[in-house]
Amino acid sequence: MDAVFGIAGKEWALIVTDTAVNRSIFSLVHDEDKITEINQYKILGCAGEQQDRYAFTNYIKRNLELQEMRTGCELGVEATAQYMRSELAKALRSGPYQVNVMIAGYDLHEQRAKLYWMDYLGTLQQVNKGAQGYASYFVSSILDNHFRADMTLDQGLSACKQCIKELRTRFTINQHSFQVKIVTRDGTKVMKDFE
Amino acid sequence: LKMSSKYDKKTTTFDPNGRLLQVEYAIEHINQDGSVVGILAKDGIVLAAEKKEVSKLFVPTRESGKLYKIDDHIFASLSGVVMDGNYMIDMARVQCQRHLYAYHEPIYVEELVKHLCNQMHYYTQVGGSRPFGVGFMFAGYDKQRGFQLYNSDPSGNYAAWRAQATGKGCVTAISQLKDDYKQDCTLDEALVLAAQVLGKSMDSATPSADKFEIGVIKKNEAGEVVQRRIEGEELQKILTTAKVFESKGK
Repeated sequence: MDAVFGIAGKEWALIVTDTAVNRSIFSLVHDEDKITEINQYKILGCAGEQQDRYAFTNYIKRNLELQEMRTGCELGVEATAQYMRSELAKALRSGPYQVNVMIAGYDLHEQRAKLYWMDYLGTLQQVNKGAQGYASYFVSSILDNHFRADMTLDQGLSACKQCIKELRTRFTINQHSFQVKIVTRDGTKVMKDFE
Repeated sequence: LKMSSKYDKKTTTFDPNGRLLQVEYAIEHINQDGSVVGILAKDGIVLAAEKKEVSKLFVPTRESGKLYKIDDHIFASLSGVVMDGNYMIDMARVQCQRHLYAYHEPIYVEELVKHLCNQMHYYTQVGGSRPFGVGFMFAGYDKQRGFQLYNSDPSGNYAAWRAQATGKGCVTAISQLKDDYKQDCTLDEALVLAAQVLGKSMDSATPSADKFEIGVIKKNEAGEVVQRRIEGEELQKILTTAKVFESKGK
């Protein structure tokens, strides 16, 4: 039921999520942060059960921090995504994390932004735009129509606003509020209550 | 060299002067092995090792020398107990692939060195096992720090170097490196210097080409990291330029 989607330009990448935690017929919380900042230049947007989201993102974040302390340097975006994938794959046949994620980051070595789509089975694919869950039925076509290879950040944000409008209009689940996190070479920027 | 003492029977004992004698004896083993010289150039690294005398009846196998490939971007020289060394090399190779599997990119050189050294160190603290009697010189490349040269010993200590030498002739070799090594030398210059230094620190007065085992790591025109052995005519040329065959005057 969580909405997680994202777009990547050349110098920027962003992930949008809704900020509600729902349980049966109730909407319990409206300010849940479903996008973990792994470090200054990488973010992980997670859809799934609260416990799995929390366990997976924390596990990844702390292990990557340990790795950074051991080696003295941050991993690139691809390596980070591959690492996450290998952890999902490892857990798959014992105690799977039921999380579907979008990974966004700015790679300092390659000097460009990247976005990845990953499902709970460990399917990992680099993409320009993507969405997880029910949201994908509504926003995929909008992202397809708006996306250009040389898109600016403002154009990306306006495409996301269209996506949210579509979800509000057509999705039966009322998603109260959204937030967006943007990564560029200057780090991560958060925009709460985005619409 | 001191003979046995009360405090050298186990790895897990300090002596009254605060020394770990078993570890020191293991390090001494490395100092008795053939010389190895490593030089960091601005565009690559040379490892030059002295090959042991072997009988005519010996059949060299694929890895019966002193230089071992650990991954596409790292190779190392092995000094000391070869069986211990083979075990560690295998461990290093597994760790490199494990890292490749998880991160889809080559392991950082220092990370690999640290991993191996942690293992070696473990065996200096555990009672009932002796230390690994091996010293490595690692030559590798990663995108974070570029070309790097590391030396490790049985205590589990390691350090990065611009130029280093171990083994029987290391004292002569190191003092010559201090004089003649130039930072930002090219790989070709480093090859000649390594051959010179190794030649001078060898036992025999007139070394021959088959006593030298030389490997390099560098980037090719496509920017890929490649490693190879220097052999045959190319080796002869370098040894001649380094004046290795002229007999050592006193």
